[in-house]
Amino acid sequence: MGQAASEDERFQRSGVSHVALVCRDMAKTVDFYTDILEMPLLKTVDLPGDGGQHFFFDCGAGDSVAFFWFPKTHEAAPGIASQPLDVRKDGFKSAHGSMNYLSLTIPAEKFDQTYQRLRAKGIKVELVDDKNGMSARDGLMRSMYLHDPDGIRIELSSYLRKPDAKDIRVDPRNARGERVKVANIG
Amino acid sequence: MSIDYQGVNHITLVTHDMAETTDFFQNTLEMPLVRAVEYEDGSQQFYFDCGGDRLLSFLWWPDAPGRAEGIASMRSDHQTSGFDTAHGSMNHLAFSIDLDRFEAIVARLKNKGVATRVINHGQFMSVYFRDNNNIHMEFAALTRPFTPADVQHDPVNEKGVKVPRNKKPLAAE
Repeated sequence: MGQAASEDERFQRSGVSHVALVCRDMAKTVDFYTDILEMPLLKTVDLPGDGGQHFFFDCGAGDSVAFFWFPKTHEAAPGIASQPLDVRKDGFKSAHGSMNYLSLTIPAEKFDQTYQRLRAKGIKVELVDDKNGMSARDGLMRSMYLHDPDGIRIELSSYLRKPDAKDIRVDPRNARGERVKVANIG
Repeated sequence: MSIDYQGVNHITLVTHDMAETTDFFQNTLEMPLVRAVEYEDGSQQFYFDCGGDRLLSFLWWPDAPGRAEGIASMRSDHQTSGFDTAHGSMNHLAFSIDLDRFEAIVARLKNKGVATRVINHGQFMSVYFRDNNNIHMEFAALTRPFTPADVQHDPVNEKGVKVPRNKKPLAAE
């Protein structure tokens, strides 16, 4: 392998269609995402056979944040299925295969007013800068964090510059923590 | 003013092995690595470009909790045991593709040895597959745009009772 594929043959990279998350109460989720976060509802589905609901919210540029509601499923599992609720006390870890957080793009020139606007709605919004332990300290983006009603960590980010070659100088670690060279044949 | 969202910036998932993840996303799914971060505690976060300025990122810790199927990610045998996952979890992740590339992309996944399952949802043509952490992923092609007619159902509360939402129109304006 390793031969160059023509652009017609390669996978198309067109971004994200939807991120499908799971909520405990779709009515509360609709209130939060439409009223607080101001994302219009794009699509509502009642799943067949009383299987629950599947709602899609517009997070801009053709992307959706989607939610399932299931009649019966596992209760919230912070630290496993999502970040711990108190990251300062309990850290950021969640399980292999889980989503840790979801970041959405807002324009850099509207970052401060968006922060003020969300704060004015009475929700807790946390600014993260290079003094924070989880910051990459590479000046790529500015971020703020909040929680949705199910404890899902949502980040709003603005790019400050484009990523470039100096952003990929770290080798990945394997399951044992050893740094490994991975050939780029993609 | 309203909040001016410009789509997903990055979705951050957790891997058991960043080297394996880098190989899968960079080489199998052809998403270039664009940012590789190592934090002070030795944990790592790698970002792959899934197109349109959207990134898929993975975190690795030496001691993250192990995979928790049916809670933190979809069960391997979801077709028989159900596809539900816990409140507050991600259930699956769908990348966008164009409808006219759908068959070619399914074929390319198969050629690369990725197990696929195609479902026609009407508004979406979807091909599902699993990544190296067994995370349920999808390439989805929209067959028609969303319209106000797509927003017709009231949401249920935690008990499954529909809550009328009269205070404002449900549909996008």
